[in-house]
Amino acid sequence: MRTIMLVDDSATILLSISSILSKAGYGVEKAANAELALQKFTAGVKVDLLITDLNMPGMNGIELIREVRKLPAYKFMPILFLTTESQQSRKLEAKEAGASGWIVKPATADELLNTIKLVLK
Amino acid sequence: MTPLASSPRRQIAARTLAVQISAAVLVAALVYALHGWFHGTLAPLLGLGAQLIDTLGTLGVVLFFIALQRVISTLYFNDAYFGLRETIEDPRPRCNTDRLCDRMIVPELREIAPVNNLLIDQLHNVVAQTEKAAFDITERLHAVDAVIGELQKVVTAASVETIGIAQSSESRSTQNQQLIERLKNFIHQRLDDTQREAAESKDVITRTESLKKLVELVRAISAQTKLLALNAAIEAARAGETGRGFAVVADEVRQLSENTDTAVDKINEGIGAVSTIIESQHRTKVSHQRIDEEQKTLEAFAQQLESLDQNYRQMVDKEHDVIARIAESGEELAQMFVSALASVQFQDVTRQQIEHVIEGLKAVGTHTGAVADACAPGACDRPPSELPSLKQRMDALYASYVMENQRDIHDRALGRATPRRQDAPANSRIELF
Repeated sequence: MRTIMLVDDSATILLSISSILSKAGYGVEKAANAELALQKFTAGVKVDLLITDLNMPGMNGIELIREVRKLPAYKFMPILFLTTESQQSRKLEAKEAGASGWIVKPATADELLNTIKLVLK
Repeated sequence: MTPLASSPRRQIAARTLAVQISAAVLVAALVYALHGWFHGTLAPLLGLGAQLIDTLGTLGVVLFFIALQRVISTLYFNDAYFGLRETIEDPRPRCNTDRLCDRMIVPELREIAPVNNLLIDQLHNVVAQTEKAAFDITERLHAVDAVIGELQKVVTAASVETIGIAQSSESRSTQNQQLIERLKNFIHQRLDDTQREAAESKDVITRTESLKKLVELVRAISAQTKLLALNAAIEAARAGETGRGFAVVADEVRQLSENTDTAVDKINEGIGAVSTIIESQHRTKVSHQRIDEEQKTLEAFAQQLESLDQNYRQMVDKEHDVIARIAESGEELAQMFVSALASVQFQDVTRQQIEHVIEGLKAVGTHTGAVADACAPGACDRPPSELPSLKQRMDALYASYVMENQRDIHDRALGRATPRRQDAPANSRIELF
């Protein structure tokens, strides 16, 4: 079973998106902020894909993936942003930080699952 | 109560007085310092009379005083009009009363910040409530999903059971068909057997009847034997003593003949009784009415069995269809559940939009507070502080937007055309790098 780490400061988003992923047959690791997620990564959690929000209190999504990419185990792990942000400059920033893709909220379940399938191929 | 602020006129008067005093002091000091040089050196050099030189000196002092005022004003207030050039040149009509701003506008401006805070609190409450509601909805959706999951399990089990029943009913139906076939064969066999039995009974009766002829032959032989025994008895009597033994034999033969007659009668009776019984049984067995009834009953039974079999199969098929439909609906419900879960993201989008509205309200509150401070009494006497314009504040808010529709709404509200931003998002909401 593939495992996905989901990072979002919204409890509702964590619950709803993790349910969609679970129903689609993925294992889900949840983190309510970037710092908690980074702790899990540092502890060596087994994750096949990271989906993170961009704007969060404290460390933001781009800062998180910069830190995650420094860890050898997650150097090539796919990373998707799931955010309301749509500015190209932020996308470029995320791309340079090591993101694999960008999904603008709200996304349908099909959009989300199809994109996940693509990046996990 | 807020103290009354200075009006521009009073400010002009105060600043004019301050500048004029400063200029007068400087001019007085200058006159004092240059008096000796003016009368001792400059007057003889110019060769003018005392009256004329004093007049020229006074004119020079007055002109210097006027110029000095400008210089002092410029040095101190950054313009030649005591720092009130904008106020003097402002084409807008002045308040009817100088103290209108003091009495009403400044207090009202100061009231905007608390009102803003109130609105901000309300919006925070809306965010909290919608967040809780969205979370509750998500949890309820989970409960619904759990029920759907249970339903699907039941349906799957029922489906397996129905398939088993259908397979079993196929086997049972085949058995029923075989049974019906056997029943039909039995009906035909029964007819054949009855016809065969009828023929055999007839043959038995015929054969039994033919035995009567043999019995009659025995009876005729017995009669002739009796006659022969009589003749022998007569001949034995005629022979006298020598014929006595023969007479005994003749008597035995006569008795034998009589016994034979008796036996023949009994045999006749027996044959008659057997014939009667066989005929009676045959009549009962070959009764067409009874055979027809039997055949009809068996055929009706076969039809009923066939009909029952058909109904049962229809019922199983129907059940199979119903379970398939329920399973299909369960799948649709599961899809709807996932779509509904995805829709909950609206709350996060809405929350962020409201948070930007809150930021905008805070900026307006801060701005009105700063404007009130700028209008407050004594503000003009303090060095001017950097007060960002409302436009600058709104531009900062614009720069903090994360959604394209926020920027579009902002542009529309300000009546400006939505610019083709260099930073415009790609058309697709999903982008893979």
